[in-house]
Order: sequence, then C-alpha cells, then structure tokens
Amino acid sequence: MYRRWLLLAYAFVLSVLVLGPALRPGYALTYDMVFTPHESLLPWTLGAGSALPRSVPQDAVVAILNIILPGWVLQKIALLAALVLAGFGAARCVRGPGAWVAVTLAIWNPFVAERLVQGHWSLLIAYACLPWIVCAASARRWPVVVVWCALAALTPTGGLLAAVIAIPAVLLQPGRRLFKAVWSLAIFATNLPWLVPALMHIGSESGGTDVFGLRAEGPWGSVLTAVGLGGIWNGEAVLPSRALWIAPIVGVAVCTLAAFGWSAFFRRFGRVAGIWLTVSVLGFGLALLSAIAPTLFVAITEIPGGGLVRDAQKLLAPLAILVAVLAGIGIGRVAEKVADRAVAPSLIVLTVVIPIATMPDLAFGASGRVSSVAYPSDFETVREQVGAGVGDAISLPWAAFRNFDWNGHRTVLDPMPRFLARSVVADDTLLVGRDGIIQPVGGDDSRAALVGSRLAAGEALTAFGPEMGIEYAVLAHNVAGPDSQAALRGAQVVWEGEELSLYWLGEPTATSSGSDLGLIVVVDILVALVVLASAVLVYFPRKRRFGC
Amino acid sequence: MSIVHTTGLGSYFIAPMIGIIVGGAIGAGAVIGLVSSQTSVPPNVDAPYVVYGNS
Repeated sequence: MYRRWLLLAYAFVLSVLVLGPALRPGYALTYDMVFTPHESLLPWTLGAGSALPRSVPQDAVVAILNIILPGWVLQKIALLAALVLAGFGAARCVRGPGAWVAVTLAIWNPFVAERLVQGHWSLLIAYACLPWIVCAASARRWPVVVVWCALAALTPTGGLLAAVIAIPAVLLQPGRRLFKAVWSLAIFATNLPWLVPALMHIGSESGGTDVFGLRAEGPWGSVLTAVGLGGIWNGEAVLPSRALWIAPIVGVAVCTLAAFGWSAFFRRFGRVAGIWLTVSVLGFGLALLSAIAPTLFVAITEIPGGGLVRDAQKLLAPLAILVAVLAGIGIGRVAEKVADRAVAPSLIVLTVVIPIATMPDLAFGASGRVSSVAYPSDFETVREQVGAGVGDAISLPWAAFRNFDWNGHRTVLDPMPRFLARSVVADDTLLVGRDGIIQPVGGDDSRAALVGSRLAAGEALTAFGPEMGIEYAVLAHNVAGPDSQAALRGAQVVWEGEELSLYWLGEPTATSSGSDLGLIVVVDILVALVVLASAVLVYFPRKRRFGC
Repeated sequence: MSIVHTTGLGSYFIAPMIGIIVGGAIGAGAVIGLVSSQTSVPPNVDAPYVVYGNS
C-alpha cells in the first residue's frame, strides 16, 4: 500500500517534470491542442457539423466540463492525468522494483514526447487507459473496463484501440455468453458518439495521402525508429535528441529487456496479455507499413473508415505502454538473478536514469515547446461582441493554422472555432512541407471547401456569406495567411483591435445546423447512461453477478 | 543463478560507480549531441502560410 503511494508520487513528479511550463496558468497551444476559457457546446462538437468527427466527443466533453471549470484548469488536469495514469497504470502491471522502471518508460518515451508536442492530449489519455483496461479485464471487472474504454474513446483512434483490446478480452475470458455479449456491446457503445456521426459523413472522407506515414528519425531507418517508439510524421514535433545514435540503441535495449519480461507477464495476465501483444504487433506492423509500403498503406486509408489510421504512428500506442510494462518486469527478473544485493538496486536506478538521460529535452514541456500563454484580451472582446445566435462566423485569414507572436510563433490550430459561442467556418486544408515543397492536404469539411473555393475566386463574403448562414467574420492580424481584403469587401466593421477585428456580413438567410443533431444527441445520452450504469456497477458488491 | 558476483567492501562501491559512470557518460553524450543536432530537424518551408509540419 505504502509502495503504491510512492509509485503514484513518482509518476506525478515525473509528469510535472515533463509538462513544466505547460502547467503554469494559461493555455498551452501547440499544433492540434486548443483549449479556450469557455468552449461552447455547439452542434459540431457533437459531430453534427459538415466535417468528419475527428475530435468527437472530446470537444463536447470539454464544453460540458467547462461549465464548472475554466478551460486552462481542464487542460492541466487532462495533461497531468494522461501522464500520471500512464505511469501509474504501467506500474500496476508490474510487481517488485521493476515498477519504477515501468513508470519511467511509460511517461518518458518518444511516443509520449511526440504526441505531446503534436497536441494529441486525448490520444495520450487513451494510451494511459490501456494498462488499466488490461488489469480490469484480467480480473473480469467488466464495468471498470467499460468506464476506461469510455475515457479512451474521447478520440476515435483511442476508442478503437481500447475496443480492439477490451472486446476480445471479454469474449475470450470465461463467463456466461449472455453477459459476455452485453459487456461487449457496452464497450462497443462507448464508440458510438463518434461512430454515428462518422457514418453520416460516409463519402466525405478526405483522400488518402502518404504524408502522415511513419517517418524515420535518423539514418537508422524506419524499423529502428518504430522499435524506439518514435516516427511521428511531423518532423517538427520530434525532439532533437531523437536524432542521436543513442536513440535507436536505447530503443533496442528496452525492447530486449521487454522480451525478458514476457513470460512472467503472460503467466499473470494470460489471454488478455496475448490480446494486448497481438494488438501491439498489428499496430506496429501497420505503422511500419506506412513507411516501407506507402502506396499500399494509402490504399488501406482510402477504405471507408480507413482514414482513422492515416496518422500511422498513433498505432504504436499499445506497443509503447506494453514495452514499458514488460521492460519493468524484465529488469525485475534480471535484478533477481543478481546475487549481490547492492548491485540489483543500481541496475534498477540505471534503467530509470537511461531513458531520461538519453532524451533530456522532453523535460520542461519538451524544452519549452509546450508552454502556457494567455489569450490577448481581443479574443474575449470578440466573443462578447459576437455572442450566441443563429448566424455562424468565419475565421480569417483563410488558413487552418496560426502562428501568433503571443504564442511564441508556435504552430497551432485556429482557436476561433473553440473560442466563439457560435459555429465557426474555418479552413481545414493542411499544408505539409516535404522536400522543400508545400503539399496541401485537402480537408473533409464540405462547407469549408465551398467557402474556400468562392474566396479563391475573389468573391466577397458579403455576397455569399449570409446565404450560407455566415453572419460575422473574425480577422486575425499579425499571422501568416492569404490576404483577406477581397473577402471583406463591403463588410461592416463592428470592432477593431490590435490582434483581431470583427466584421458583420449581413443578416443570415439560411441556417447551417445539421439535421442529424437529434439522432446524435439521443445516441450520446444513451451512451452516457451506459457509462453511468457501469460506473455505478463498479461499486456494486463484488459478487459474481452480471458476469463481473 | 547469479550473473554478477562481487565480494566484500567492493560491492558497496562498484554498483554505484557503474551507475554514476554509465549514467554520467550517457547524460554528457546526450547534452553534447543535443547541441550538435539542433539543425537536424528540417526547417519549416518558407511560405506566406503557416505550414502544419514537415513530413
């Protein structure tokens, strides 16, 4: 019991060391991570917009929690919870002193580093849920599994990774068929909040591309990069230490250590361990396929629903945390074989120190890449001026990402859709640099595509905005992007500030709200009830009822 | 079966020394490498737009 608290404290300290300046009051804005003071529960946050539900239901959950907690507090909780749960969860799967190594490797690894810089906080939460799902599944505590799967399903990829481990675990564990079917359905249901809107958008999926494939981080190539748990497609999200030769050496050493831990792990977790390993190997295979056979991988991503695995390195998540657990068990076994009692602790300490010493730039918010800033007051003023209402707003300049000087010129997704209390039409075309050439990757939002084509043709927003349900335009100053003068011809200035200006385009003559909203809300409420019922059953007297 | 044997007073020094030397060497190597590898990540493509990342 005492040891458990110490491990939790260690996971907490290590997480604080990783996040550093991101834990200061304010908002850490990096790539896809955008938190705002008060995100509103709008149709698009539930998946009823014109785009694919890529961040569903995470934005809806943030918007609901925003009612009781400010956005910056939510962000700190989300980031800290992801890392602490990952470290402590890995430690739960390991007995003996190897648990300290498991905590370290689960928090301090290239996968966590790169996804943190890329701003994939909900994927990190899903990553953290995996050991908890495995522990609960091996104990056949199915209500607990459902609750963890629901947390992992904040993001579609996370929900999918959790479900492909949890559902086979339910089906392969002993128990009555009826209960197994019920719990499998409950786990599947946790994915409905994103799956239902996704099915409504079939056909609008963006085309496959190989720019998101796993990327080698050095001359040692893709295989060793993947073994070392790195390889995110975006070279700018990679820490400099990953280019050192020590990186693949440590990756291979940790995997070798993990091999020592497999037999003990399998003896303890049985079939569930086998499922976790199978999913990890499949994820590793797909991630590698994206690097060594990009054409074949692109063909897979073009299958309906295949877009989910487009960012292939995400699929290393199950392997990353499994390796942490196995290496923890492995070093424990090696330490047991050491006769000298003074050497054994040194081995543990060394295995704890090496991952940190060889990737020191993960400390302090990945060396300042993830750091809190305050939104300029202009954002709040524009939010108040626009208020809530029927008409939508458009964010200009027409570009998906911003490099605000007040955010240290870090690349970040346009925060306007999450800042205003109205739906915002924003560009969703990604511009990816490759061999000195900018490659545009088309978005999947049909409405944004239409607006973009009319803006490109030189049309003024006042001419077509109101008939598309767009009432306001928000222009960000001092950021890179196309010129917005032509787009704002004839628009009425409502407010002008140093960072932002607000324009009124005219009374909207149409509304944009998706007609599917009703069905989505009903499904979401039912899923929330399933998760709530499971959470209640967690505290049910532990008898063999309900198959748990 | 034991794989490391040390005896007497030596064991109290050898183990921490292994840790300090190996850990120190790796740490120093990493710091030096960090400085030299600052240019290893390809710079962002010069463009009038914000480029999401480099593939």
